[in-house]
Amino acid sequence: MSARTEPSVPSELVAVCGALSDETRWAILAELGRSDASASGLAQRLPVSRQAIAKHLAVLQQTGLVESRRVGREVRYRAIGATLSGTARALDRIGAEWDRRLAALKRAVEGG
Amino acid sequence: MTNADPISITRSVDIRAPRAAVWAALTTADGLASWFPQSATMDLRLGGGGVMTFEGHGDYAFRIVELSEPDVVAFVWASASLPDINEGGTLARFTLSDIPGGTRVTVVESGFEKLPDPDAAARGNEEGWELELGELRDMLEGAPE
Repeated sequence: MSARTEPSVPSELVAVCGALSDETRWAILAELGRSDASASGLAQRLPVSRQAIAKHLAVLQQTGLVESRRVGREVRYRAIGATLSGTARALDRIGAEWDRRLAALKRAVEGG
Repeated sequence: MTNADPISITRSVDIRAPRAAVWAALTTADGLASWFPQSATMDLRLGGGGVMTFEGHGDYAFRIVELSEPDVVAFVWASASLPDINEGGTLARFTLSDIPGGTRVTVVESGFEKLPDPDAAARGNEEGWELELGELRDMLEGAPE
């Protein structure tokens, strides 16, 4: 099996990394990791407007990092651990590709 | 507020060879072709770069964004289907250091969020819908019983 692998990144990883490249979204995800919360609950805990919270929650939902459910009259948001786990696995696979490439670099330079 | 460090991947390898040999493998066309692409072109200067060809997978343009012989070289690369490498691509930054008997190479790849996202257009339509739903929910959450 060739160690020569072209650079390729799954689009889910791109989307999640894009979502997580924003500090506020990290903060929202961290809050939801601690406990489920409503949009107004998040707005109370974070120095961010309700409108901004709603927009960030939309991005987090689109990328599968957060899901919502109705609890009584309230909509509660929950962090989806599986998405971050999937992202970690995708990063691990890219890391493994680099291990293979660096091993090939080592063979090429030492063998030359 | 949490510090959103960019997501990156770091890997290292120790090579029993002098620095100059390792540097050549990272910064010359023949050197790269000995371990990474099948073939490459290289214009070795800051802002230069070239194309790496992977058999069966096509061409990947790369640009040199950091160059400090013989310690650091960094490439931004993307598949040639991107009209302009500035539109996106990941960064691979190689640092070389001396270790007893050889050279350590560390690579940090980052910038995954800067890649073009083929599904973004589909999500774009959903974003409008989600925003409206979100606003509706906000209104309902605030509604009196």
